[in-house]
Amino acid sequence: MQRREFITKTTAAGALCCVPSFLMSAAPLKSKEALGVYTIDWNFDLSHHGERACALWIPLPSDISGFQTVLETRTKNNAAKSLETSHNAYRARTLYAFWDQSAAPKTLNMSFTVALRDRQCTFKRKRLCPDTIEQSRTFLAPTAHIPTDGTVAAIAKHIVAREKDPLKKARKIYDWIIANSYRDESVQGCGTGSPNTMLAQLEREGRMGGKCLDMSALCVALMRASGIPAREVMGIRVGASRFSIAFGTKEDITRSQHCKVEFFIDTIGWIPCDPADITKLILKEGIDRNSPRVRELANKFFGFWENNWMAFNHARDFDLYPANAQGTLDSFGYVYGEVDGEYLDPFDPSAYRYTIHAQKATL
Amino acid sequence: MGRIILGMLLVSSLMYGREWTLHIEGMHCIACTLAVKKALYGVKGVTNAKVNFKTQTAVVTADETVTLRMMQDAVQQTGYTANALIRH
Repeated sequence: MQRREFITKTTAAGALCCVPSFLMSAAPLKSKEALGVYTIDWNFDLSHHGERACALWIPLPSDISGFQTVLETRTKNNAAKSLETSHNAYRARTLYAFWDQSAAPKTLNMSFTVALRDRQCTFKRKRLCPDTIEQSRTFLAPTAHIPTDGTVAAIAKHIVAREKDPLKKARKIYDWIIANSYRDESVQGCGTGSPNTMLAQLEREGRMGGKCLDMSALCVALMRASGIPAREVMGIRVGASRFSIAFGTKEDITRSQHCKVEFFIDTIGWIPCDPADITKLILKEGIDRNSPRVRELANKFFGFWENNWMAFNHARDFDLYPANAQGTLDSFGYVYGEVDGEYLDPFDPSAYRYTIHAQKATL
Repeated sequence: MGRIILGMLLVSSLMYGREWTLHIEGMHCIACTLAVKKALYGVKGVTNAKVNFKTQTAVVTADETVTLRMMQDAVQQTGYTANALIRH
């Protein structure tokens, strides 16, 4: 899509019925501040692995009708093989690159421009096409890391109690997570995303610590156990927030990955929410979880995502394509790499030399 | 002659080590392989350790001073369980 096309076409997207699955209910906002344009630069260097075969699977953003459009992509690499693919169970857009043993240096540079709009759910009831509703049911099933039985089912039942309205059930779960969890800065990356680990800690200590993938996974598991289709959305912050320093990032976004949640209501569509960011707000601003500011932003972020965050995919417990040596991947918000079939630790600077930078741009 | 061959085998095993294939229980994601690998490298005498989530195995090269029990103890301290499949 060309830049001018993005501006004109996206204003109508929220009204469409059978639009691709990500979106629907939340209308793009039209004000100037609701549009964010960024140039994102990725630089990888695996040359220090010498004469060993290296492979990377890099998560890429997809177009999300009305909210996210990738305008231009440029890549430069000396890999023996490189390809862009969405050939996996979740259609997660992936850039794959492979360097054989003899390749030297082993580098990859990629840059693209992305246009992002605020996504605000109106909560207006409407008729959705049956295909969209049927597709959403995929996100009721448990996965290896998202159980919907045992403790998860018992806690979900306790939270929603006798509530029958799915939207009110979802809000109860969202509020319960904010009330019972805290952001734990000692957790590496976005966390492991294991609801049972979180709930075991709650039983032991009376509250749960974690980061965005942990809280999002718990939210998704509780919603699925309550009959509400839900999924984590992995992505990355690309700029400053208009709402809080807790929700934003600076130009070096190498460590700015962030996971949000979407849940599905049959008469509304997919709705975004972000309980993890509210716990981050409490920590970063040093405010009480019952303060008016927390209540205000908790309300705001139930049904909203800001245009300083770029979505990658909602893949969980899936197989990469081309196949990796290590098998099923639990989530795909960070670049995944292997050297001679061994997993590269994305948090170890000696394993990876990579940076991601984001800069504000204009259309 | 027999002593010489025995001596050469001993020197060879000390120089090049023995290879073990261990079955690892308890790994629930690919990142778990890093913890297992770190534990195995923590055993004095282990010279190489490759851990695979898909096959739930670790292939370890170690000198003759390393025993299965030493590797099992190290892996267990990280919350996983190691059982020997083959010693080459």
